Amino acid sequence: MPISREYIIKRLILLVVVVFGVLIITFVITRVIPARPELLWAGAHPTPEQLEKARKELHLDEPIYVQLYYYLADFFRGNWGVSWRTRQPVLQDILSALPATLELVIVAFIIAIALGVPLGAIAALKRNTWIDHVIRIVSVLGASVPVFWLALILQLVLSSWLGILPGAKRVDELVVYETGFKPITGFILFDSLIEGNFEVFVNALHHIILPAIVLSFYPFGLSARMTRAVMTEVLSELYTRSALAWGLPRRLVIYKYALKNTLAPVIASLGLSFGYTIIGAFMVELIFVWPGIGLYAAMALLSYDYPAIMGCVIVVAIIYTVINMIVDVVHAIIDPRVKL
Amino acid sequence: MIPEDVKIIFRLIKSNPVSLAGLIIVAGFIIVGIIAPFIVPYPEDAWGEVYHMERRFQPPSWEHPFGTDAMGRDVFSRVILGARFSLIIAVGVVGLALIIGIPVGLVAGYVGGKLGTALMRITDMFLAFPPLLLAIALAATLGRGLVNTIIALAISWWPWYARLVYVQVNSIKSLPYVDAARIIGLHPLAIMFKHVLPNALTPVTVQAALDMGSAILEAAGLSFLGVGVKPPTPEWGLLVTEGWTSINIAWWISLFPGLAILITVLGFNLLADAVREAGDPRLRRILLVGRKI
Amino acid sequence: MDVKPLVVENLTIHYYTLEGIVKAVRNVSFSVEKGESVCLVGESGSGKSTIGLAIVGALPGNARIVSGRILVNGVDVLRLSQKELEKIRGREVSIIFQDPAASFNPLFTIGQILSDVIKYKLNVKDKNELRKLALSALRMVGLPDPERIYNSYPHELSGGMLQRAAIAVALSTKPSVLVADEPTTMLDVTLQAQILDLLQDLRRKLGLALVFITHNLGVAAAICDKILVIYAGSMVEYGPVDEVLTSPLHPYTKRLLECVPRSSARVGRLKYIPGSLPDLRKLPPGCVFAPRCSEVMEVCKSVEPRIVEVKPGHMVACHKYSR
Repeated sequence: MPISREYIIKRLILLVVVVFGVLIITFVITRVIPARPELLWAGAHPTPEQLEKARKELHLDEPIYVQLYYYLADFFRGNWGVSWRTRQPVLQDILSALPATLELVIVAFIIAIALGVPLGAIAALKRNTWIDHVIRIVSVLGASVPVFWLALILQLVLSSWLGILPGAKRVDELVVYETGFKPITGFILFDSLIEGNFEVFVNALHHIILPAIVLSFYPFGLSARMTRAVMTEVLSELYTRSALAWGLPRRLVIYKYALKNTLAPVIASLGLSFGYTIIGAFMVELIFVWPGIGLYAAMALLSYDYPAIMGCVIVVAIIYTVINMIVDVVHAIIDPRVKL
Repeated sequence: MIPEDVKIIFRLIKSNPVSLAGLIIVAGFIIVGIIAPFIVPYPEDAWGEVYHMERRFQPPSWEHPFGTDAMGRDVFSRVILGARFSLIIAVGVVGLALIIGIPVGLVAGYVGGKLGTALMRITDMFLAFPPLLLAIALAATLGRGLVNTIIALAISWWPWYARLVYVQVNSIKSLPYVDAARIIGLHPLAIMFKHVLPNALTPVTVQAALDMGSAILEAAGLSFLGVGVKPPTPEWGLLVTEGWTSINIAWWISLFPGLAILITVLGFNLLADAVREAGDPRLRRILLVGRKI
Repeated sequence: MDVKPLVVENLTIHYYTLEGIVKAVRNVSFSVEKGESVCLVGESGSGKSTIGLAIVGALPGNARIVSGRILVNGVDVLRLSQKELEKIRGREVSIIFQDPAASFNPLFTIGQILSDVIKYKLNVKDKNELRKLALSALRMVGLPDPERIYNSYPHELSGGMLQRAAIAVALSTKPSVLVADEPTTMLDVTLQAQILDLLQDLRRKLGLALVFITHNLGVAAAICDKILVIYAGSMVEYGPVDEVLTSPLHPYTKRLLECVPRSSARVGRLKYIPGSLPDLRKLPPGCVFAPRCSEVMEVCKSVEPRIVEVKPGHMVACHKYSR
């Protein structure tokens, strides 16, 4: 299904509108709600000079709309302030941390979909049997477990007690030094593969398993539940019964026809679950010392590093919006009734 | 939803052991949440501002079923009282979110026009954030504390209810009986309160009640990230966090409060699933039914 | 002796619902010869569609066939395994539904569905051959521009076109029995006539045994050889179409015929049958039509009438005719 240029332009305009919305809400949160915004921006224990400097930088003595203008202008200039913790520009910090998080989240989603969709489909086909009950409990469990607690417990058992999997970091520095590995894109799994550095690849894979499994719980549960619910509905539709009545084999009707009907809503729900997953990454990265935007945001929160916090909030909100736009496009590709 | 529906939903829940388990868990949680302060074995430990040097880091035993923590406090007492705080947070968050969301959705849906469009645009702006992210930003701005946690979560939450009410109102508005009421000259406000509101509210209240599990989960997440409730409040997420530093020598401090969150949220989610399925007439038809297609 | 394409004997079907067991079809028997068409006529909810679904083995999951036999070309389909049933479906019996838009999966083109049916039923592997067969099936039902239809998604076609396409799919595998479940109810009157003509035409050409389900006696008169009147899941009258329509025996059939609006009867009110279908979960003893019957007798309220042959080939279930 070809995507029209008109559609792309429309989506891009919408993206810009949403980004403005996000910026305005963060502006209200950071500048309008607090009685003295400079206290938040000047670090944990500010001196009077620092406070004064913060007031200047934020243009707090000007009217609110002028402040908004500077706020937006700074954002688009890439001037997102300096982190109190790292003493680096926030935007630079975030960009260098982003690949680690995306790698983790992508692996988590691959695990979630690979397990969730087939299990959800099986549950729908075996409705009200013990298999269905077990799958249902497991999938609801995925959406009910506090991700930080799961991370702590799995890290304790699998890493500290049993020593099966590494419990921190993306890769052992020693292996990196010994093999002279140089990252290109920041996606270690990808980089090591194209460099043919198998040792680093295996080591990184080993490291990513535990945090990725923890993070995959929520999207796994969601995709399994969604698949089960939608599949149940699709199987009861007339078009499923007519396909069977016209003589198509049951296997084909389920795995070719019904599965495609199930896919669009499942993908849409996964787009929404991306929001939860990336917040989950804040906590999981903190526990597994995974040097991504999650660890950065969590450290910023724990050390009241306000510019860094707000930078992360904006970036995550924008990524979330972009992901959901991609989901829309995928939906339109699957379903010919959606106009592009 | 009419009483007939409620009856059928109950029958369906009773007929499915998994859904029934959900119902029992939720009921148990609410009861414990209400009577918690009167049943905790060590009330001082539960509320938190004590220090028992002589019994730090004790593993689970008959006296302390969940062990004791770094300050020698009985973890069991803290977890039991935690149910009270989780209940307060859950009710507070969805309650406040409803208070904001219902009027917005109602006005936007019923009045429509420019005002309606503007309201829904604002709602959509909030929906552009992942829910917990907005709560984090707000909590970081407002500072720690029980009330701030509730406010932060409710503000990230209300747009969902506003949308739901908006959609409901819009579909009810075009129903024949509302048209009829308009034609015979009923006052718009009367129509809104007598005919539209009651029918629009049921789904959103049911949804809200079942969302309480997620509210508990998200409040725990905020606590873990250091922007939730303040110590020594025995909120479950904070209890898990408090045990983190000593998890290698005293796993029980984090394990049990986490289990409490898990079981409670699981109960709500199982129940939510059951109600959602039973509330969908098309699904309901196939529910009792065999697995053949 | 020739085996009849379709024989239904003493078919009884129950639905298991939350509100109780619905006795949807009770003791229904009829048969269809090659090239013959039999109409199942009744009000909505009378169980006529359930019979149709049972014939093609596509009952919803909560339906159970309690007793009876369905013989397709001499084979009892109710005794077949899932696998064997799959072979018969489409190949020997097929169906078209009331709502053509809902009977096509919205995410697949007509061509994809049609060629899948041909591929799996006729074991055609070659892609060009498949496409040729599919296009000829579309041409057979009189669709203009079959190429375009082949590449269209259901939502891009009108109801009439979709119903033709459905007929093409159902007949692409040359089944001997076709169940048509109210295929014209959702179409405009002009389209209705076209589809009926098409079905008549194909029936003659292909020697189809046609089971036509409708609530419209006018349609039944136009298309059927035999007519089976069903009330609340039981058969009340069964016979050649002219016999039943010109000299109906059962009071229900008579009232039903009176309800058909005629242009000659402009004066006066439209007729209707007072009362409504009985609750199929709690059937009254005796005749199911007794509560609405104007000729009701004492015996009707306690004894269920048996179906008897009053004239050759014309049967009725009514105490008025039993000795």
